[in-house]
Amino acid sequence: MTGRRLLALLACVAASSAFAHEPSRSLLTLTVDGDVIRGHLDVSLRDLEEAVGLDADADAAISWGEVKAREQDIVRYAAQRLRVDAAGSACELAVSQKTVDTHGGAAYAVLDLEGACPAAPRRVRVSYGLMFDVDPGHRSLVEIGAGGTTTSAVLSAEHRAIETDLASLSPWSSFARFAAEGVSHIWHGYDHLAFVALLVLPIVLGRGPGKRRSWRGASLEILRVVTAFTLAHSTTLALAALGVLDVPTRLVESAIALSVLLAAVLNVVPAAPRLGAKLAFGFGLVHGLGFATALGDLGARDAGMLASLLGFNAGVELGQIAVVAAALPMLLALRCSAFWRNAVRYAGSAACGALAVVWLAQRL
Amino acid sequence: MAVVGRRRMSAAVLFCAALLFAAAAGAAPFVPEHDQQILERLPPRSGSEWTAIAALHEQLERDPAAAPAVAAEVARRYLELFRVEGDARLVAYAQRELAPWSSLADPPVEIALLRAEIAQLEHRFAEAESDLQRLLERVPREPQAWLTLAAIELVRGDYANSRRACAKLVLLHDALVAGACLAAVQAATGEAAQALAFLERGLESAELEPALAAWLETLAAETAEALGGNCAPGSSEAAPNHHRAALASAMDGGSAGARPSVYSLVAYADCLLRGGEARAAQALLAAAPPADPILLRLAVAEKRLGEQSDARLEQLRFRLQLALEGRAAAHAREATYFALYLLEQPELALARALDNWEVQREPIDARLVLESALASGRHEAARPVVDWLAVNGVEHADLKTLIARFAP
Repeated sequence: MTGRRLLALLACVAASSAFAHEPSRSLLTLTVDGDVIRGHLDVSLRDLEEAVGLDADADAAISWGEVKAREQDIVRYAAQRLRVDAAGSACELAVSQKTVDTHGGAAYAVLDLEGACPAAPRRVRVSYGLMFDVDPGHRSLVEIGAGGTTTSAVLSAEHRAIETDLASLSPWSSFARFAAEGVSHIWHGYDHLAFVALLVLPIVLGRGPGKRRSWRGASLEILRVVTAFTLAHSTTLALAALGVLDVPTRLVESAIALSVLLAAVLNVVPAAPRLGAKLAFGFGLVHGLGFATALGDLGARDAGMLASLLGFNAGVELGQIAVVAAALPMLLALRCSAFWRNAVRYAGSAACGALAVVWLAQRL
Repeated sequence: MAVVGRRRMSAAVLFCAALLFAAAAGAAPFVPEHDQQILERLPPRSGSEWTAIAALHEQLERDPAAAPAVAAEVARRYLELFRVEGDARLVAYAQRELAPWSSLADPPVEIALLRAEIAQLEHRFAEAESDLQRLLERVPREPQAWLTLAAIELVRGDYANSRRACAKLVLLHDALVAGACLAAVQAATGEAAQALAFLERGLESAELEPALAAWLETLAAETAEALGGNCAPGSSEAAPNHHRAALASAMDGGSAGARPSVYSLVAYADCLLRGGEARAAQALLAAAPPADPILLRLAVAEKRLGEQSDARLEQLRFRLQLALEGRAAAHAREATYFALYLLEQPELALARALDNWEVQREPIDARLVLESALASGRHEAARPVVDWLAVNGVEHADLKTLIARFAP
């Protein structure tokens, strides 16, 4: 009875205990391009140890040599349990394992996948059966990309296959959704708004005493500066979203706050360089990285990278244009008086600068 | 001036360029430098528990006729290891042992009990409950089934049914276990003072098994916290003393390898963090196994101490990715905790907290909803939870403070 009773007590305590640890998880990424299928399957070394055995010297540590020694077995194990079908017939899939990767602090073997289907598929079925016999809690996070859109699913012992209609993934729906998100991000991203305001203020209001541009000249200059800012942040947004760049969020957020502060200072210090197109471009590079974080949080990867990227960018632009268009008539009206010109420019820049200091303090 | 301007401008551009490329280059597949490079350390599989499991596996191969009893014993040992190591793979291994009976509606009693317990650990509460009900129709005098059922009803916030299941134990098992079972319900529902008195009396009795003592101590600590006790320096010592005693009892040989359970470590760490004792919480968890709830508390302690590490956050983000996206309900509590205290995204936290509330309704789950709603300024979203707490007579010092901050 003691054994039973022990279990009973522990069961009661553990009832409320969180299901503590993520179960084992693999990552399967596939891209379908015409009749060609490419991708990779990342399986954690802990899982492969359980499934095929890696730790040859039983020292509770897995070395690269031990992984290489079992390469053939790993490849065979995966190849036998992974299948892609197009229109009812299997695609040929070659598996190789030459590299490793780390995810969340754990080491993964990267299995490269390459194959061809009988014809360019409109519909694929991916069947996955690794690990389930030894670990019924195992999951695989699958992403299938085709034509710039991605669909994802979590496969488990109960749901071992995903079927995707490649033609039905609409890039337009992703585009529209992310355009709306882009507008909303600008409206709620006060740091970006502040920066755009700081770009526009000196152009409309002039910098020195007595200087005053025609509204036509001012509008063209605004167009130039805002376009430079846009080009820059579109570039880094794309690079970051595609995974070429990966800068820690905190650093980016701090740098954005710093850029607002610098812009505010440049606006009020008479000897400072003008906040023209080139500086706007430089700062735009930083802001783009911030947009990328927002885009990532919205799950752009699941929705199709290219369409969501373009949509988000378009939304950000629309949001920016709306802000400038709303502020412009008021600023143009104000610039008739030298007093108001300076008051708005100094007060506005000072307010933005003060906000930037607060943000910087929060983010550093 | 033009020259100065240009120089400053190039400085600004350089600053941007440096920012971009210095920190660039994310994780990508790589070829290790040499064969001896260690890529992964496995959790140690030495110790009496693993030896016993290996021996039992051998016995299973020799004598298939002994299967149900031996397989159940292996599964039980995996679950005990899970409680101290917090690695979900161990639950899956226990499930694997029971696979031959997985399709049977009425497996042998010990298999049915373990199956229900695994379902409960994976937060498949409805399934665990119906399994247990079915078993109790067959074997109405099975105390373990009533106790597990009581625990499930308690977590789900069905206090009446939890009390009913505990009451069955009075006749079937010993009075102390039945009383502690009831005390857990009382602690949540406004009778925490009586519950604490009962538990402390029970703890005075001699000859308690270490596992029983550890359980009673943790319950007593949580009950003291419901009454307003905490682990801040200078406040009443009841809560921290009981937490420490729970850990000490486990060390006396309560569970696998005389190690404290993840649950009791997390409970004490939460008490310390609420009391502003980040350094003590960090020290407590420094050598603890890397289970998600442990890493979350460690990360919060590090954040409070100004020692936050990006690697820790990335690790948690990867592990909790599906739960953060709302695709793993069993981890919604951890996802909420991560979003609220570490990512500081209260809207996201609120969404996950409400998902989690549909699954489990312990004080910490209510607390996560209330705090997320307050932080995101969406008070109305927590209204059903506030009402539910009132209707069910839930009383907890922390919740009371939080509820007071909601507009009436």
